[in-house]
Amino acid sequence: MLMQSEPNSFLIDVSKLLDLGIPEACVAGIETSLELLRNHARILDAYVLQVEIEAVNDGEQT
Amino acid sequence: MPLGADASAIVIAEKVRCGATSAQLIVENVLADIQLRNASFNCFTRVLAETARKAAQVIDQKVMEGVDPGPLAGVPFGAKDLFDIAGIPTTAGAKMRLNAPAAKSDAEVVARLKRAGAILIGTLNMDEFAYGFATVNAHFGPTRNPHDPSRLAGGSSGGSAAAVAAGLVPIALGSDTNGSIRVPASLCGIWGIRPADNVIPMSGVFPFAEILDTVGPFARSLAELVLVYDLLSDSKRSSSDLQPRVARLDGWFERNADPEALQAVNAVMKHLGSYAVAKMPEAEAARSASHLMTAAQGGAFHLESLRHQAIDYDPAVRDRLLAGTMLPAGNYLKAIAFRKYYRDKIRELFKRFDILIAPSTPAVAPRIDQATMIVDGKPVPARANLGLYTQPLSVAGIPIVSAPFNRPGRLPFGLQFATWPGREGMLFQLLSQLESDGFLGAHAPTLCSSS
Repeated sequence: MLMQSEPNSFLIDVSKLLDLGIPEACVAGIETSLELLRNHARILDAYVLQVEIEAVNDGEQT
Repeated sequence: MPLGADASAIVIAEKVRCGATSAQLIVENVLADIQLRNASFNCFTRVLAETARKAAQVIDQKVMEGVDPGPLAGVPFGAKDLFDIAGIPTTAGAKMRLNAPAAKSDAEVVARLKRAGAILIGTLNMDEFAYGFATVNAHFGPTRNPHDPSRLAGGSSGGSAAAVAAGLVPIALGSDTNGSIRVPASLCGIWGIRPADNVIPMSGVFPFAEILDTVGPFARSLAELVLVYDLLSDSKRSSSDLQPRVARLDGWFERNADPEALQAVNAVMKHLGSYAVAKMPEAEAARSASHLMTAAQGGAFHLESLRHQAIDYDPAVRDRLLAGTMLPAGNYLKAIAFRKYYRDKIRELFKRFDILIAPSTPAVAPRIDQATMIVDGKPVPARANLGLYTQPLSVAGIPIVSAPFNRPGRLPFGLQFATWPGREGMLFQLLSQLESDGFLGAHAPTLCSSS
């Protein structure tokens, strides 16, 4: 897994794959798969955030 | 009629063990049947005729000498093409691995079945590197559903499920990372089990996403499934006289389901006299976590290979693996952290219930030429989405059986029965009752209409 400099925006610099020697023709079609991962990352983020908010609220009530 | 692979593994073993038939005759019948019918379904990628014949000779010799040939004596089986088989390359469904170095020894599960007297017939088709729910392989072609060859068999263990459903072999081995046993078991109308984590050994299995990978068997009856499961399992299961507390999963597991699948769940619940509903509000997030963990681990595993051989990958698989290599580490770590939180939640759920029921797939098998399905009102690729209901349960690491709902003459679908590790005996007892009562059961394909 490559570390990205902008983990939250999830903006991918596809040139990193080209730098690794992966042919441009093989990189051209990955946007759909990237968007799928972005969607799943958003769903997980939203759930985790909701749980954290609920935990804070519970703490305030007790 | 000669005894072939359409007979049950239990009947074959009984007759071979007592000398009523020979393993060699069984193997010849199976090889002839595969020669005749495999092209219709494209289940087998390699048929190991000579090694199967030699193994059958050894079994028959043991019977003649009065030596116990094992509980699966003479039972033919197939293995998804990601299990090591001594002497041939493990392709994992990839053309680029056809000339990989041959495996030095059998995967442990293959070895265990052989030690029990079973005879390996060949390797079975799959999505390349197990990344898909369709068994549409760009190099080896699609595996076709025996109930309707114009439809998907499901994946990624589609060759295994279709071979069993078609009666080419009575049992087969597959792997389940996100649903790759349960999805094809459902669409092909047979039994399959994803075991609890660390119950069936993984040595000699080509990895996909190791944090989620498991292996297990397919069969056409519960008795055969349990027989093979017990031979493969490292843990002794206990039986239970307690009445299981059963609940159906709602929410995520009902959203997008075909009404017939929901009616099937409700029919089973009504028969069991239970109206309990289990809430799993984390299911959608769990599915997303499984997507992220799979992409990250798969991408990391293949990165070096992609650098040198990207052009040789199935394009649909390559895209997903490359995207996985680009996933920020923070997202992966968040998914891992969620997994632990989620497992704690599931543990709490199983303090109140013993068995949870949900559809295995939202509907019957999609057509191969229109391999899309509707999720939240939008058409999405079936290849990536047939695991809608299996993925959230994969993350839990619990044992889950996909059981065929009994609907003879119609396209099949399955129901998931999940339990907590250690309660497998209770689960099998309940399933046996439901099979006896006519709610669950596999049927020989009658070539349903594709219209």
